[in-house]
Amino acid sequence: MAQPQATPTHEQDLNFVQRVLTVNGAAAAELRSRYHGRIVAVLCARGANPTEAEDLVADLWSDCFAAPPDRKTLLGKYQGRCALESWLLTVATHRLVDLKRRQTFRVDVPPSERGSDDFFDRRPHPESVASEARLLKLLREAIRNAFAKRDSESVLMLKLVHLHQLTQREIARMWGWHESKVSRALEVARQNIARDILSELKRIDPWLELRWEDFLELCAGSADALF
Amino acid sequence: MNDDFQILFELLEGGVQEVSGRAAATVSSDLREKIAKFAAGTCNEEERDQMKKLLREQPDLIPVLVTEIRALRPADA
Repeated sequence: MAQPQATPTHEQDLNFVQRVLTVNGAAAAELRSRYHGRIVAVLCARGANPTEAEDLVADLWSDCFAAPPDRKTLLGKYQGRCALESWLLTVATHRLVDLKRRQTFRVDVPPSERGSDDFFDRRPHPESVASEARLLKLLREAIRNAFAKRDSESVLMLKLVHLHQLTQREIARMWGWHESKVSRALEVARQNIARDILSELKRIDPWLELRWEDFLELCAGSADALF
Repeated sequence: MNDDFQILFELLEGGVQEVSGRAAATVSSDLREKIAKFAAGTCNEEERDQMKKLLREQPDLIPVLVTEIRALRPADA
C-alpha cells in the first residue's frame, strides 16, 4: 500500500534535527539534554523499570547519531510529520514493547544452540524494521478490532466526520436524524472505541501502561513510521 | 476526542486514497444520482438504509459521496 507523501508540519523540529545531523556537537548535546529525562520518565510510566529505561534511551541516542555505512542514522529518518518529542517517544516506546516481548520470549523458549543468550542478541535491534512494522501493525489491529466491535453504521458515521470532515449537520440530513442524535451516537461510539482499544492493548501487553493520550501520541508518532 | 479519531483513521487508512479515486471514476450515472440524492437528504427510509449499506460494503464510494456533499455547501463555507 502506498504511503502518503511526507508533509512536514514541524519545521522547527526538522531544522533542529538537520543541525544535529550536520555533526553539530552542541546541537546533539542539546537534543539529549532536552529529551533524555522526559523519555526515561515516560518509559518508566509506560512500564519500564529504571534500568531498562536508561538502557533503551542510551541505545536510542547511539542510534540517533550513528549508523552502518550504507544506512541512515535513526535521526535521519525523522521527517517532521509530528513533533520531534512525540517521534522520539514513539520510537522509544516501540523499542520498550519489543524488549518486553523479547524478555517474555526468552522465558518461554529455551535458548537455541546458536547462542541466543549473547549480549548483542538481548538488546532490542534498532535496525529491525520488521519488529517496528509489527508494532505498527499492533496499533492498527487494536484500532481495527475496536471498530469491528461497534455497529458498522457508527463506524461509517465516524469515518465521514473524522476522516472526511463532514459536519454533524450534514450527517443528520443524510441519516434523517436530529443533529443531537448524531452527536450522541458519535460520542458513545468514540468512548466505546477508546475503551476497547486500551483494553485490547492491555490484553496483549499486560505490563504496558498507556493512557488514551499516550496511545494517540504513538499513533501520531507512527506517521514517520518504520523509523 | 474529536481530532483523536482523525489520527486513528489516518493510521488505519493512510494509503487508500488512490484506490478510492480510481473506483470513484467508474461509478455509473445511476449510482451517482442515488448518492447525490442521499447527500441532499431526500431519500426515503428504505433508500437511506440501502445507501448506508452500500457505503459500508463499498467504502470506495465514500469519496463520491463526499464530493456530492461538498458541492451542496454554500460557496463561502
